[in-house]
Amino acid sequence: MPAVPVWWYLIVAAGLFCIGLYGALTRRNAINVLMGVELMLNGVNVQTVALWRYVTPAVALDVNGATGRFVTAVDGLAFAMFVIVLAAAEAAVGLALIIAIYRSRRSVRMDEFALLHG
Amino acid sequence: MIEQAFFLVLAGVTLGAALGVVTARSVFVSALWLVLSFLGIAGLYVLLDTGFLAVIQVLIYVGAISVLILFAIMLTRNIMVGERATNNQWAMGLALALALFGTLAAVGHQADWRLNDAAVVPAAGGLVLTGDSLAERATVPGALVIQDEAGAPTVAASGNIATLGRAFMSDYLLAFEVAAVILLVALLGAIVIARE
Amino acid sequence: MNPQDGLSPPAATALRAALDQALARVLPEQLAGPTADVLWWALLGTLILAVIQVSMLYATWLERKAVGRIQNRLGANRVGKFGLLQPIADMVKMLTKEDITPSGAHRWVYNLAPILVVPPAILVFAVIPVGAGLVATDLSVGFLFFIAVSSTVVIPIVMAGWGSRNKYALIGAMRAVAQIVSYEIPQVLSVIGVLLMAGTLSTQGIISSQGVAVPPYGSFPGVWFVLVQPVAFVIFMLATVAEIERSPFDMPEAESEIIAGYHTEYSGIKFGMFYLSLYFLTIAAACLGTILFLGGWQAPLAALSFIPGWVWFSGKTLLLVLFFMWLRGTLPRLRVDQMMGFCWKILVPLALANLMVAGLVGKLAKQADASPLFTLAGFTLANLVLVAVAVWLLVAWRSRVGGPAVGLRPPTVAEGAA
Repeated sequence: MPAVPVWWYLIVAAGLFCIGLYGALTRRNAINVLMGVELMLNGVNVQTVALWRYVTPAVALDVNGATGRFVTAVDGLAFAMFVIVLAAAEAAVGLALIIAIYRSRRSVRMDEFALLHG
Repeated sequence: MIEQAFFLVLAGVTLGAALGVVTARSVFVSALWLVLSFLGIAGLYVLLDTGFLAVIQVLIYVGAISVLILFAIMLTRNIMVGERATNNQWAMGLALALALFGTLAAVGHQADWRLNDAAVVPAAGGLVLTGDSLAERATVPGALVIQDEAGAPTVAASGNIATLGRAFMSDYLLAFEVAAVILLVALLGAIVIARE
Repeated sequence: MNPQDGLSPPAATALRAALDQALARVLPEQLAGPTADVLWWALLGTLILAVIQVSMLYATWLERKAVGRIQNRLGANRVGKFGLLQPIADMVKMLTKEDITPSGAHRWVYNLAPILVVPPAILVFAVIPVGAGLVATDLSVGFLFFIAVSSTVVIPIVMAGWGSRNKYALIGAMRAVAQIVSYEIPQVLSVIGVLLMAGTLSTQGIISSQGVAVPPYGSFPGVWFVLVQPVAFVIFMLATVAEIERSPFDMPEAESEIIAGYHTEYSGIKFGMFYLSLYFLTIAAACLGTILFLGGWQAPLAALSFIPGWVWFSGKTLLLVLFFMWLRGTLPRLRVDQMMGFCWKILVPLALANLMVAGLVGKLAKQADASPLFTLAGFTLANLVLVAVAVWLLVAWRSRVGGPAVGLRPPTVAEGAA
């Protein structure tokens, strides 16, 4: 087994997620909230990759006898990559929205975006 | 032991920078702390033997998403200078974050994750293949064909990248194509929304 | 240079063995191994730094001479014979200038920016192979590492622009970032066609696939990629010139204009750092072009392989650096809208077309187990199609790429007379 125990990585991932959560909940600037969300996504990624690395055996490929298909074992890695792709897409659209709101209301304070408030 | 030292340094940098993101007064400075935490996470990926993901993290998060955030900051000139940076819910947010961290840390430390002793560092930095013929394995791009003692060629390892590529094109093809469409939609959406 | 891979020069292996033995005598078992590793890497790093520093200094000398000759003048020739001590004089000048910090500047961000702009430019040299075993570290993702690290240079540029508290610096920084981020796309797309044929992202592997095989990589197609995909080479060269912000793409930097872009407020050694990183990146970009398209350190003919690899590598890199300087001396600077139009409307479609064609022909060639000659013929045909597409793009869309400025047309005769 690698020298670093897996729960060290899990604590780092939990820390990233919770710091991101705090940022997303308590910051006033909308862009700061988005940065908190990015931290949360990264925390999730670190956890996924760490657990995948420690749980997946190295001897991974096996020919599925019936269909001859390869069963690959890069699922953790693929999951993390899709999360990165989606984070990029979401950051782009989110920032475009913030810029559009800034143009019409001249402010990026989250407290002021309360039109739908009850 | 060296690995543990590296891990502690990288984890310290990452978490410290993340704290910097949520406590900086100026939004530009928190963006810079965010860049540092992304670099720390890339370092953690290197320690986890996924160098490819580390490079992708730097390329996309530091090279693209951070730039996007910095552009948005510059286009929405911060007229909040001098005000408090946190809103009225900071106490509740802090309590919630601490409680969640305690729970996740406890679970992470004490759960039985069914780790696999065979998850050792592969010989040549890639996944070791078994169960398929040499002819098939040898055609995988990036496959390392070496000679064993008898002089016969044998595949030592196939790089993670090649396996990942094949996985994207076979098992995860639908997700791959949907991700491509999502990126296209996000691109068009961002252009339409942010246009004057 | 890992002495265990059997490819390093014998001198390096012997030196490493001596180091290991010396440390094993002095230190206990546990520490000797890691300490030897650390010292070895420190030595290697120093050697690489020394070599690229000297190359960078004399690249600045070469630039002044080459651009001077293109402009029909002698270039710098006062300091030392042929001006060879000019770079030293430049460095002394920069080190002795007054260190000014604008009064409204954000102290940390302003001062960190020139420091942070240099490490990415140096770090990319870790994956550049100069000979058969002469690469600092042969990462399996070498090319991607190069692109990723060189793309992190945008962050210090934004820091410089914002930290200066200067409107013009900010605008210059935003233009520079827009340029770098936009031109990364045709740069990487044009190279993917090459990577498809080489089958690996490793720089040593790409070189091996263009000539004599270097274990453990193969050697398909065995021909330099510039012969197989010249269109990709041209796209890559143009995109790289824009990436490193050299003329004619140096609008954000604009040395001959009043406002110097994102390094307006920097003087002395801080400006020197931006200047340094520009030249490091120029050399690194030329090295990458050599690796990807010109066969790296391999000789063009087997008969000439008695000349050491690093001589070939240096010669080819010098050729590309001179090409960059030639572009600088001859072409006028592009305007910002022309530059962006050129990237998105000409280079990106062309790079995509090249990728499709290269992928198709390459895959067919590999599947049919074609001989290199046949592959070359197939690619030549495909490249002719691509050149036709490129010419059509340039001709049909030249007005959309950014024509003359609106409102500045010369007055007609009727207006002039009235």
